[in-house]
Amino acid sequence: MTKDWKYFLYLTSLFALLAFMLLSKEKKYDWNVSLAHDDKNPYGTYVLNQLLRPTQKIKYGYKTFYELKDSIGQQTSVLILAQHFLPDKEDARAMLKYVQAGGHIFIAANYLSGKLADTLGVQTKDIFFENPGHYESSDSMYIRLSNTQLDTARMYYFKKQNTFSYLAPADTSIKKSEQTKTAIVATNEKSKAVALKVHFGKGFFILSSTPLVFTNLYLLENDRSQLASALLSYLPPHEIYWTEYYQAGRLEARSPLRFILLTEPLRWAYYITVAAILIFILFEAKRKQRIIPVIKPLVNTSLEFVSTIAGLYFEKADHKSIALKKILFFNESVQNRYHFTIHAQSPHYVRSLSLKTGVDELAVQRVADSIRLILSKEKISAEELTQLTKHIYDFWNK
Amino acid sequence: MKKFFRSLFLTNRLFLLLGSIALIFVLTFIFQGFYFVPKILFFVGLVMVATDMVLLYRVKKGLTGNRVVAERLSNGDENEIQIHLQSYYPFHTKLRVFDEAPHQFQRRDIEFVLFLAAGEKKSIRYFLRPVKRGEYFFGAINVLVHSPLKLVVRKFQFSMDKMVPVYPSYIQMRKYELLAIHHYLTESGIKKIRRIGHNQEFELIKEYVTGDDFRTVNWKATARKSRLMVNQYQDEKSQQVYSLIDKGRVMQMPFNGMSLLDYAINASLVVSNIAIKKSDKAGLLTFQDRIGSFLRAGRTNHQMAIIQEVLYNQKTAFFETDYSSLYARVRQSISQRSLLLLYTNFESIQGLHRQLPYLLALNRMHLLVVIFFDNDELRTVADKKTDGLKEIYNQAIAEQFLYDKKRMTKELAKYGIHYILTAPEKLSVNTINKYLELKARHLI
Repeated sequence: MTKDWKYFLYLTSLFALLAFMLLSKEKKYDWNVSLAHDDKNPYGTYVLNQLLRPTQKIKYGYKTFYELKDSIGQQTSVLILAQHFLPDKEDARAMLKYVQAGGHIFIAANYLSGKLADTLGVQTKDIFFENPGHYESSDSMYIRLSNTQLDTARMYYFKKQNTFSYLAPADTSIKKSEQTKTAIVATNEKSKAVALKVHFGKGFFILSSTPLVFTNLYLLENDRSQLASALLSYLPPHEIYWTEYYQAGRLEARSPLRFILLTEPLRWAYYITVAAILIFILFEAKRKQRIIPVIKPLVNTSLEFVSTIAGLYFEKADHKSIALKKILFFNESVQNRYHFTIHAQSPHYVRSLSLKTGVDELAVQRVADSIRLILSKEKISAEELTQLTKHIYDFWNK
Repeated sequence: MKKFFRSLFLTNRLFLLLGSIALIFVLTFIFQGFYFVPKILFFVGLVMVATDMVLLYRVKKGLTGNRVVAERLSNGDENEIQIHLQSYYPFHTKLRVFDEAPHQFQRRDIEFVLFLAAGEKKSIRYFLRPVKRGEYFFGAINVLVHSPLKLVVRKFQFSMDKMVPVYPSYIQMRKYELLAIHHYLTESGIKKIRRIGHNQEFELIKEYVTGDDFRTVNWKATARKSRLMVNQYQDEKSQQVYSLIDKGRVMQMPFNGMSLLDYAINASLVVSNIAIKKSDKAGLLTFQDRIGSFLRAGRTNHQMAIIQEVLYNQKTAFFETDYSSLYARVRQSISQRSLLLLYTNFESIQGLHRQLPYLLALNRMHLLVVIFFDNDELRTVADKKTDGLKEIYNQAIAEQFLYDKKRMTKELAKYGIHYILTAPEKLSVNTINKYLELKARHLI
């Protein structure tokens, strides 16, 4: 038990250390562009959300417009903030249809493309790309409103990197639908449009190429929030459906687990399996019998010793002396077992040994031949040694 | 509660059940319907688990058991262990029994499965072969009890923590002792010895067996019995038999798990016992780099117990043996001509030559028997069918070593020293034979 306590102590102190380190770490801002309504980092839109909420009814979602179209009526405006707005064909068709029927959609995106942009005859362009000289001039750029009913003289300054994109008529503006009627809402320093109001059928789109204008960073400082407010005020005072699909993607139901947990029988199966595994770990970890420490048994090293000595002979490839050892042992064994003492060189050897041992004369002859051959030579080959070994083995295992 | 949790185990069947219920849930999802089936199964399963727990834990006593072990275990022999179990459950139970054998056995697989009817008693027998002397600690007997439902298991523990010492082989000792008392030593592989020479003290008339001296035929008795009868004369008594046990490096080598030293200790115990039973005096001397223990020869009944204790307590560091100190001690302490059974081992002829002067000196005063060991492991290599040149070399070297042993015996014989070259397993038998042979030949 005392040992268990020690481990427990180690683990807790380790966790405490980890917690301490995590807490003591300096808080850092996350400069990723999230545009999420609940993100308090510079490029989140928490502030916008807070500003809108008291006066507006807002719903949030992570759905595409196509999925949305049946659940919202004409009394709802749709707000989309994204860096890249690339709806697919069906999506774009649904939006056009919705707006044609009198709906309103607010889209703020650095890049617009696809069927929607084509139909509306709009494309986004990059200010750095179009005017190379822009790097050198100042790092900020102003935006001002174009509607004469508003304060058009007021210049709202933004960092140039955050408002680099602008809206231009599409090059391939095929046949601009007569239904579209475009009005510029805001322009930048270069008098390029950064916000447009595009009428389509009974409704209209508000297109903005500067989504970052709506982020926490700019809404909190100075009075730049007025620009955002002015842009958003083009929307009729309906309920707003704010879909973040185009920036954040589908937050829900992204993992298979989500699906499993949403389906009842699968949820049961999942919980039963997990519980079973936990119980299994808990119960099978218990010992059925005590721990037995490993005790190394004594080792008989004689074989190792033999192979070491043999290795020394083997390196020298001293076949002859090995063969002599084998012959010696063979003679000794025969003598010991059968009291047979005739020397292998003797002419009676084969016959006598065969009679004495009952081994086939041929087998004895082979052994005798090998022995005589080896004794007569100064050096022998590995082949001859192998032969001798084989014949002796055959002799004993008749 | 803690106790409950400790004793509660779950079976594979339970996990199988849970798994199949999960599977059925998945199937109902695939076929879109019958959701109620697995749900019902799940709750039925829960109820069954609860029932099983009640069944197992309602009977408080449940199961009793104990382990029966001899007071001391015999080294190098198969020792019987018994486990007695009795069920108090009113139903059939399945038991898995795990016995916690002492660590020295390195056995993690002592598991038995048995079935007990209501109230039935059963015993389990198994055998353990220790190969080292010393204290052995048994743990608990763990019994996992399954009810007929076999979903949960209750664990019982009995006979916790018992120490049993392992002594030199008293089983062998008893075995040969009985043989010695009943003059059966000629049986069971112990060879017949032709008696040369006579002692005049008459002992008994017995039936003639091959090997008896026919000059001793008692013709009157033969006529009475119409079978050949011979007179038997008493052996010489009160001769001293000393076991000299080398505890040095050479005795460390194990065969069949047990070191040569322990073989030697077992054999000297057996021989000492027989010597005492034969009215001789048995003594003991152990040595390595210096003399370990010395026990003067004696033949009181108590002598055997002392020998056993001394042998039990032999410890060694397996240092290099010093024969000069052995010689000095023998010269100093053993004055009467005695039979010296020297248990040692020589692996090389040089090793023997080094000690030969001391052996000769010992043999001059006493009757010395050098006991050394045949290497079984080498024998297997020598008899093996070889495959490849390297193995032929190995075999030849092994044969060389075996041949060296033979040469050593010749060397000893040349100097008139008695020897025993034996496989470790046959040590006791061969030593007894030698003792009886030397005694019969009146060489002591």
